[in-house]
Amino acid sequence: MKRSLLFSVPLLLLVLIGLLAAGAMSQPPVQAALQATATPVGESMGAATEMPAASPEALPSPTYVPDQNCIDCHSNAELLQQIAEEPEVVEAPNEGSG
Amino acid sequence: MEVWERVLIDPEAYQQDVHSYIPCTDCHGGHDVPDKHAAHEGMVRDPSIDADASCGECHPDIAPYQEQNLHFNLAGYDTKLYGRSLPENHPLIEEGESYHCNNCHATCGQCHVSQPTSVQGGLLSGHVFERTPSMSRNCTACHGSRVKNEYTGAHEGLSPDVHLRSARMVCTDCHTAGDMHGTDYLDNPHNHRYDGAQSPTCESCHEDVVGVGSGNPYHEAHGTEILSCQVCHSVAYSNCYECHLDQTDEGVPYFQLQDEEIGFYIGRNPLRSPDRPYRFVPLRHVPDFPDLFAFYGDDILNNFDALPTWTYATPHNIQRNTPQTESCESCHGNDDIFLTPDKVRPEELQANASVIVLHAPPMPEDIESLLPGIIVGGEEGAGGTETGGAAPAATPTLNPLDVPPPTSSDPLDAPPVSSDPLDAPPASSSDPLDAPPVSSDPLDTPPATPDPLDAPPSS
Repeated sequence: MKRSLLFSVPLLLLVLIGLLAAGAMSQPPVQAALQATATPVGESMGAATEMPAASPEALPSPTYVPDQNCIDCHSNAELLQQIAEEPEVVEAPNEGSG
Repeated sequence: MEVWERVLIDPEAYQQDVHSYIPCTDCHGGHDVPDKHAAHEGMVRDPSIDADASCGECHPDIAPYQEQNLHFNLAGYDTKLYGRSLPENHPLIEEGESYHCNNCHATCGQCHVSQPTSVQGGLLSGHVFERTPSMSRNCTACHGSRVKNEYTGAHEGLSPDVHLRSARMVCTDCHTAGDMHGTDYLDNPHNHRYDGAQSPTCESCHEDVVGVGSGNPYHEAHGTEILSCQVCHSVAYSNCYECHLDQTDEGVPYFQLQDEEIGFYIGRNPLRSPDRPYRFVPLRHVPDFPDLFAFYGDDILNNFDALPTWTYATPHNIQRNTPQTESCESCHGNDDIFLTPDKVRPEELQANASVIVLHAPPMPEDIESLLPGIIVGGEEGAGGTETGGAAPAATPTLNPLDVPPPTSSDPLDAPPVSSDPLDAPPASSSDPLDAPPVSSDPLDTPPATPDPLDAPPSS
């Protein structure tokens, strides 16, 4: 009995710590940050500022979705030079400024 | 630029551009595959040729109005060419324009992404979308022979425009986006670049020195309705004559300009209106002539005399001091600087009857009261000239007291001593278009002595 208590108390403590930690993690950091900076409604801020703006870090950044084959070729100067096709130059015999 | 350079993307710079989040094929079509020919199948080089479809979703305040933009619709060409012809010939003009004019269409992309097609294109900054077009790579790529050469002082003996020389101003410092896009006048789409109210205006920046109350005696004396600012503050500009449009045996369109000269000519304002009330403006000769479209048909410009070939001009070579500001006699009594009949080609006299000036205005008799302290002859009060070479032919100093005053103080009212057919009384006409305009402007009041220049051309 004494031996089982000796094992069960630290085990219970560990479970308790684990539960507390899990509870804390279930709250997203952004929300936690917003709550920390939020001002209670009706105190000193007007209605227009009741909802605090999300910080830029909290906003999702747009996804860069290029057509990779297009970008790969058109950003490769050596390759472009190799495959460039010189257009047929047709000289117009213009005379005078246009 | 080399061919390959024109399409070279700068991936690092372009990734910072919000447009990079749109897949290439969304705008250009084609296919995102490694094979060059397969990738370019169905590709559109300049998607903004259809601005509403390509740009309209994010730029709804500009893109849908592309068709009303003079840069895109080239309405200025049609206005002048159709005006010099009758409707049955308009299709032939359109055909000629398709070979010689239409590659000047400017799309959104040709100002904001690449150089214009008329100079073979070429990405400006690795496909980065530039909010403000480049003066040298976009604006003057098309507006080169006149605007660029005048603004930069490319003509021998002429200085760059003071706005460039002293303030390093570029085109967009005066020409706003709303003006360039045509969105400033959506309710009244313009048919040519001088249509509607002036934009930009000199007064936008120089309001305090214009006209009566300005404190500048010369501006006080001339007011704001006699002369456009350019009459005194522009110098010589290019005038073109007789452009022949043609095609080679292989079908390559080309043009031959018969003549070109640098000169400065003050004439009557062909666009006189409340927006442009000036009686006198600088006039530039345009390259139109009756056989301009001869390659595409006979007598296409069969109403040639309907519009002047000496046209309203705003030369981009502004100077504070010019040959005109040297002395009062630079203009008053100096026929050399005015578009007198002898400077107009005989076959164009009829077309230009409304803008020709018979004689320069004489020195006002009350000059001393208008400009107290001014010594007629130019020593005092003269601004001097910053630009050499542009001066009109020197004239002997004119003492107004030595000249018998004309019957009318307005030289335009004085009948010239001439055998010129334009000096003959106007032919009677039953054409209502020949009737003089109804105006309450005293400057428009018919003179006691009929002035043939006030008469419309006989129809």
